[in-house]
Amino acid sequence: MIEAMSMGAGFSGEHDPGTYADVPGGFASNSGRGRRTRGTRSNDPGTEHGRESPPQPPPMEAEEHGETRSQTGEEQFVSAEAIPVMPAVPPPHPAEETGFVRPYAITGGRTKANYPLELETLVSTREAAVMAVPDQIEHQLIMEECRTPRSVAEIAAALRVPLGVARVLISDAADTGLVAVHKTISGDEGAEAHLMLMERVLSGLRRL
Amino acid sequence: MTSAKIVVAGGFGAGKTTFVGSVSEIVPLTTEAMMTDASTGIDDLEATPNKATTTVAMDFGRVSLDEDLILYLFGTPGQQRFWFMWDDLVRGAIGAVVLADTRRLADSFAPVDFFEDRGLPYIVGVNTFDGVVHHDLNDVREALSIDQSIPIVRCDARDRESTKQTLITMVEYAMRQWIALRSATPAG
Repeated sequence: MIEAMSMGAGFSGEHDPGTYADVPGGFASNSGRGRRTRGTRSNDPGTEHGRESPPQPPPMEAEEHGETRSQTGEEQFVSAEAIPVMPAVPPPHPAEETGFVRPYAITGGRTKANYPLELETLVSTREAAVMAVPDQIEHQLIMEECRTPRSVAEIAAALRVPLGVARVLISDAADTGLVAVHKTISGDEGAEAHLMLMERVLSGLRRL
Repeated sequence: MTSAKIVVAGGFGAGKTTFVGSVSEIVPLTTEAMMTDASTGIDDLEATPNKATTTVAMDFGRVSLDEDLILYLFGTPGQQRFWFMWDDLVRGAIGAVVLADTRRLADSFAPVDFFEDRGLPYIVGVNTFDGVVHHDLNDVREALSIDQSIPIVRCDARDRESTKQTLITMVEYAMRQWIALRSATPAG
């Protein structure tokens, strides 16, 4: 919760410059990048308006649940070129914001995943789900990314969200049958499996 | 389809990202992690007293080794005082390469200590910038006070063949370690 709050402050700094003027800019610039690349900012009048309007009192709780931005959120979805299949009116969901959102707001504040998702754990889109259009934009992005198997770390990088957020999103996508989580051979389970993995890696490296 | 992970550690400027990039089939990506509540109080935030939280960035690369095996190489976060990512990094890893810059050998102490503590097999790669070796490898071993059995190799992080060879040395060593440990402790 604490980190979500501070990250949110970074985002809000752009949204509402007067309120969080003392927040170091590092997070804001870093974390805002991903959102901007989807082109939501340039063609979203709501956001522009928000930046130019006089500072409002900090909408702490409201922001967490997306109430302040859900109106503009719909426009952003429609205008995002990357997802033409998105329905015009997505169902309301706390995680449906695409504006400047605290990272863990995307996950509804949850930080736990239901699967052992290591950095290198591979995830791939289920063939049966290829045609599915999930409500949550992050799930769509995960499905696009994982058409060929991708690691948890790659998904986090592609979505430009912190690893912990990516884990929850992947876990949800797996729960709803959109993606499959591949088994990861870790050192703790079966020594034989780990040794075999090392042998395969070794011969693979020699062939490179 | 499965994956494996190797950790690449070393101080700032030791060549971690260059090392990863020289064999990776993708331009090294960066992923970020936020310090979780669990590590608050363990990690050192004294240098940034106004922050209640922080993020660290890790660079990583990917090498497809065969049709259904992908190797990921993870560089350790630059700020070594933030340890909260290191558990994620070492869990299930085959082993680690500690890239040592002989001009700043002290930067290698922390990763060496960490891997020793966690029992993760590691080797030391002395990065030879411009082909210049500033120290004899035995001096490096002595300075880092690491066991004779741990390989120390010269490598040029920019060179794919050199990186490949360093990784091979590491995996071979990790396998020897693994087998030695298994035969020392009865299965159970």
